[in-house]
Amino acid sequence: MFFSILRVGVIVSVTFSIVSLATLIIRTFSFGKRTTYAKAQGKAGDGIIYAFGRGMMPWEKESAAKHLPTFTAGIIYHMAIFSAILFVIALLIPISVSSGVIQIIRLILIAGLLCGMGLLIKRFLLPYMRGISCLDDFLSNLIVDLFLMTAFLATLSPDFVSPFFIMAIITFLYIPMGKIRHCFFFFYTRIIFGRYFGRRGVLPHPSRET
Amino acid sequence: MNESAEKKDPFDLKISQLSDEDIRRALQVFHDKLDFGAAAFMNSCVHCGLCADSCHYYLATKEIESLPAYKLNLLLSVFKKYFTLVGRTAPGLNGAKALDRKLIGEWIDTLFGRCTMCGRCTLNCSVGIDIARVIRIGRSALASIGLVPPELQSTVNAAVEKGNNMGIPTEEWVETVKWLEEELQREVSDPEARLPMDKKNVNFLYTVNPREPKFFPLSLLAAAKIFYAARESWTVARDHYDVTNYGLFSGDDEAARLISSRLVQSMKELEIKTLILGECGHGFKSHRWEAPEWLAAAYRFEVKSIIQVLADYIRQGRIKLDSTRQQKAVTLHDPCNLVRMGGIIEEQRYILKNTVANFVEMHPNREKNFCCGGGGGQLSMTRYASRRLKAGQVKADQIRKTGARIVVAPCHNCIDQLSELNKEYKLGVEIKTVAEIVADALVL
Repeated sequence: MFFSILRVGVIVSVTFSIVSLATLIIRTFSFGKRTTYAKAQGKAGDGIIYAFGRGMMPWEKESAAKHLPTFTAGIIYHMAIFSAILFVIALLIPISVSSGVIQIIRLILIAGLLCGMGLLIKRFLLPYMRGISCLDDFLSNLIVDLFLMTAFLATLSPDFVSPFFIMAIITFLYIPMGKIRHCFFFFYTRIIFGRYFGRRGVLPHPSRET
Repeated sequence: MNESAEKKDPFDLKISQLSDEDIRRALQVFHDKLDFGAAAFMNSCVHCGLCADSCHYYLATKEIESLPAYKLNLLLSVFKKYFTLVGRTAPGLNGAKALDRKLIGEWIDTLFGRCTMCGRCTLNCSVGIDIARVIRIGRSALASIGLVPPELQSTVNAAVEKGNNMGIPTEEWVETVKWLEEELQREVSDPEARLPMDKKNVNFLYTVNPREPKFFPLSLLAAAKIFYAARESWTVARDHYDVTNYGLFSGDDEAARLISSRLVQSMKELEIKTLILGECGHGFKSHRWEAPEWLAAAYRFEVKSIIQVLADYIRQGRIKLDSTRQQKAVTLHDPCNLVRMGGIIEEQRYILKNTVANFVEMHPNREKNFCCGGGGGQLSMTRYASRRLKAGQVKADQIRKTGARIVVAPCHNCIDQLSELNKEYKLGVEIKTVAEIVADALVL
């Protein structure tokens, strides 16, 4: 009975999250779209493709290259989050997952959890990181870390599926409240970034000697 | 007024005397300038801090106020407070803050005093937030309540009231052009050589930074000499010849629109099909990319940088250059507004490789180059001069590492800043425009 309630709870929280994020997007659109009159020099489409591909790579982006451990931790952290979400879906439907896949998910989850905790510790310890952080920055990280931790435990024993569902409910309810909303806005921002530099013929630049 | 108030900077006094209506107006402008893109940016920052090392201000000072995410946060906190449900109901959670006099003071010091709007942080942002654009929105809100630092505002006012940012009287400009024409005739030994003014139906209208007629006339002479060598049909305008537009930096769209509209007017009156922008980074960004947005209309003429014109002359064999004349090592500074924000990236390299014997790149370069520190209106805002020079250390180090004796910069603002850095950091380099170094290599 309790488990069924939790299942419904997860579905409701996911629905809440999607509806809230959709509302946020609509509100953001209500600020209006800027018409572009300047004649393009390059192709917006090429810029957008670059923004989602090569433009994310450490050899293209100095900030990623200079902070390779943080960049890598971020990538692993996000892979773990997506794995945990897929795991929730698999448990909700339910879909039987082979032990091999479970092993891979487990590995990604524990690696992601360690990375997430590392990023949280970095935020606590470095003065400049504390200086740009608000409560939401710590809370978002903590909630997601607990979500990953319970997901990892749930891969080890069915006893932890209920705590995992509870954390899933909390996570999905929190997504629209704090900075985790970037999971939606990231794509819009990246498109705008690619379009801007693509139209101006700045990115993607052709391969050339440096 | 008491004694301490008398000693206070009148600009600071202005902040303390802001009315609630002023603050409401600033908020309204802040809201009105946001479009979907900017609002998406406001929802995207994850405070990862990876932008820190991309900013020359932060690298040089390590002050948190100079960290791009911190600067963005000043605007984000206000966005959250007024335009998000969580910010209104639980401001403690997401750092939402009401816009008050204290925060406005911080906005001024940070948005004007710690940012050149060079866009390097945008390129390095994990998400891709156009921080420079959001900073300009903040500047626009401040401009709407008269809180642009007075030195920058006076530059805008001069352009609006007198037609050019240095307030050069028309007679002085006409006299300078006549004198330069005589110099050109002497240099090329041709009494028929011209520096044309207000000539209709020519190939292009050439615009200059008013610093050229005022302080660096040889820079304009260099361009005229190249046009002469290329047998170009061109002209400058008698009234509206200023390539700069400090409205870009002050955030005042009305002023920016007016300044840009004058060049459009000149193009129309002189019936010319191509506008050539002189060596000015922000001038290029303003008139090539932003002005059509300010004017809400597409241009009916082509807009190019002189850099593109010079590269074409070389490609088409219209000018002959002797690259062996200049044997000193020459490096190139990439102005942010021309390169990273403007898309003129390879032409200047092509020109230099054909003009000098020993061209060396500085690192990083092209769109990844560091700002010299002179953009964003910093050169006019003398109140932030020491900070500007400190932030320029990053550029000074870049130049020193190249071992070059000559630095070429296709931007007069950059040249002014580089000249100051040259003295401050004892670089011992010569600083030239692209036209100057090409003119030196011309074979007539």
